Amino acid sequence: MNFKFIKDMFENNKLTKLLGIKYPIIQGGMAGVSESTLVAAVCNAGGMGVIGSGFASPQWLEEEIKKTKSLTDKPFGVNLLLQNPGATDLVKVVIKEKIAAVWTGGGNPVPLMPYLKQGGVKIIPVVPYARLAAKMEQSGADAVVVEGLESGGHIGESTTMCLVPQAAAAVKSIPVIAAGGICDGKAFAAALVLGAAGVQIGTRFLAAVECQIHQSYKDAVINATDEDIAVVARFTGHPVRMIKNKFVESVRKIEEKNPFPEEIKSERFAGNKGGANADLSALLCGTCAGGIRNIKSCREIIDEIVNDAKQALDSAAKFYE
Amino acid sequence: MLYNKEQIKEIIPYKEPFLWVDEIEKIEADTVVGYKQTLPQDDYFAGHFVDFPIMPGVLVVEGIAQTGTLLLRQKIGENHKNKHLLAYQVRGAQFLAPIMPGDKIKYRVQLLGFYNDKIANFAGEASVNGVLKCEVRFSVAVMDKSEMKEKFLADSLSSASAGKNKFFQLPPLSIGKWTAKYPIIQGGMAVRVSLHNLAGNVAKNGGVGIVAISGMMGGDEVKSEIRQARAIAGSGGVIGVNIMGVIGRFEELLTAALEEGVDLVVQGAGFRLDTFEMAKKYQTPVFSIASSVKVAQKAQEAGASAIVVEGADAGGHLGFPHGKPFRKAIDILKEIVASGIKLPLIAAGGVFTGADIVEMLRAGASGVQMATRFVSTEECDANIKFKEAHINAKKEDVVIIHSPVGLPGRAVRTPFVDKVLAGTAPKALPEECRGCIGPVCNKSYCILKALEAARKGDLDNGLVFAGSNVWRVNKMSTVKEIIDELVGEANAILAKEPLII
Repeated sequence: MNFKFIKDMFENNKLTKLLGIKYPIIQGGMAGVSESTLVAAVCNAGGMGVIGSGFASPQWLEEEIKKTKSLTDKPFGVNLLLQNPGATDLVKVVIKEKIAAVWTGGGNPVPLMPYLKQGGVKIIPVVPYARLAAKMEQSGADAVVVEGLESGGHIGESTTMCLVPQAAAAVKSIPVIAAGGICDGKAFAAALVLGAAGVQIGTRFLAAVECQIHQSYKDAVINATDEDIAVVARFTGHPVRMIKNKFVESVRKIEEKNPFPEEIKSERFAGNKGGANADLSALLCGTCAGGIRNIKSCREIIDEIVNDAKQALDSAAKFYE
Repeated sequence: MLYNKEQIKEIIPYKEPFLWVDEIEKIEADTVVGYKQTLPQDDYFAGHFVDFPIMPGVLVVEGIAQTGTLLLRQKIGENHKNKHLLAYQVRGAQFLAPIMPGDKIKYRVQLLGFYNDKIANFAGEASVNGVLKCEVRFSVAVMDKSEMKEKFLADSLSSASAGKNKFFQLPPLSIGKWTAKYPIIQGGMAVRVSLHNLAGNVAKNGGVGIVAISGMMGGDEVKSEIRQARAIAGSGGVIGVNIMGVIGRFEELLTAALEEGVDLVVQGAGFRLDTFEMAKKYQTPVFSIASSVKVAQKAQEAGASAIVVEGADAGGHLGFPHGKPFRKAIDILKEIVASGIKLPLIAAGGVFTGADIVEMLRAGASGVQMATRFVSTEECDANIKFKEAHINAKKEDVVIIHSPVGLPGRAVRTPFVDKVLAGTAPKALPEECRGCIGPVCNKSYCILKALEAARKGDLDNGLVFAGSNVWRVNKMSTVKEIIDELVGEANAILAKEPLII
């Protein structure tokens, strides 16, 4: 580990300062996937783990928070899906449990901001456009995640490569976190060069030892090439990126019939842990899966990303020699 | 079975030949299951295809959609009767296998969602004996009938009205050199029921006044009546005569009217080609009365200026000889319009209200002829007892009798009419016969005498002709009141929904 690099790169980093973490690496909140074991492991490795609450109940969230606290003394976050009709109850749990920061997606977080701020919880909305990043800053967000369409799960329409510099230019002072397609040191380095203060990584942590998804799901991630990742359900207006399998084929068959959005229940595309038969469910996954070839612990993953980022930046500097 | 065909027709506004579901088996939550039994003799098989009869895919989709709308109407509840359900979108239709003559089609249709009470999305399928034949998705737009009228009628009017005129009031009637303020012709009523006073006052109030000259004594009487009518009508008033083709003194009476300079001749009850030759000399337009497309075509060829399309609800002699079915004026009118006859058409027989006038104009008429409404006026030239027979007539008093002319006629029951119906009316006496209708008369009774008696108020011996709506007349009026009422009713309708010509 190159400690000088870490000191230079991350000591004055706005995001690490904001969240009190070692590396500006956020494990993306994945509904149905990221729970206490994974979250604590990421935190203990120097990044920030985020519980994905999705459509979960307040009871479930409270329990996961307690479990996480038992596994780490580092700060961690909770991702709130604002489409969840019970989102306000989850906010109460978050405030009660004094969670460091909340990530929001799938809706407008502005109405919730006063409550979270009063509760001392930092707010980090996930947005698909630079314009929204600026708007979130004006509304009081502490940082903002801009997520490109390379990500897994529900996707927007802009790419990370385009989104990050635009968002970095659009905000005044809050940290911009790059997300979508980042799974290794080179991409991390690139995101920093594009103007991000840090990165949010989801897919790479699917293939983490501590991740609680089914082994068949992990195998599908590490075996997938870049051609094996598909976007389905565009007809619903909420496209979802996942690994091609029999489930995707069945959805494709329905799509050929030009169906109404109501003909497919959105629950079928929700994040989940998978089962013994990887063909039966939606294996949400980003485009970067083609670059993930092994299952490692969260510590190994994070250390590798940081080291590789240093090397990548060093190599880049050689262009000047 | 949940609903049979008749019950289905109570719910959805379809009927044969465009009802494509004849049984509903069940409705469960958001799914409806129904059936359509096809028959080899169904006419669509004859044309689709000529050498390979299968059910047209669009009809299968229609059947699925009709079944779906039944479910939707039940979801909407009682208020559904105030709604139009319209095809809004059809998508993802797949036809997997043909449906053969005699197949019983099973429809299964699911209501996927109903949004803001306006748009309903469906997915449906058709199968035969468990084999999937068609699947389709579609949206139905639900619209208040009143809203529909405002939104689309206005649009369709504007697009249909390109190069046409829009009338928010009753249009005038212009034929040849004259124009009547209102497209209302007072029907000629012989014998001597519509003379100068009625015709003159109708013309004075903006309609077309008609003196019935059939049965008059000679040319002097014709001329005198026309002159007096003109005096009442004033300048600009339109006065014409009505003459039956079968009367004996046809040439004499018509010549007198033409010499007197009438604005039009209405000629019926016996089509006569010489009418046109005679009228041509005076450049007087001839209106031929027709109760069929055939007669209307004949009149057009002969040189008529307009056709009075008279249906079976008229009073007096009806142009439907024994064995021919009685037909409504509107039906004959539509048929004549469709036949391509270009002459102005005047609808007659049963026209009673302003709404009736508008209906006829919308169906393609340029005007209407009304007689019965004008009998119960102070100005009508018949005796008060004749008028009272109209005013007092009940529905059951309106009867059809045989006229010696050989045509059926509609009349109000009088002691004399009862005798005619019983076959006990006194035979025409040879010494009294004036040969008014010549050899066509079967002399079962003297119709001239009976009509004369009635118009003089002798109902015991009189025949009071009347239209089928005469029972709706219940008070004495004036010509002005009648015309004001008709025009007021018609204009109120047209103000909301203009007439496009």
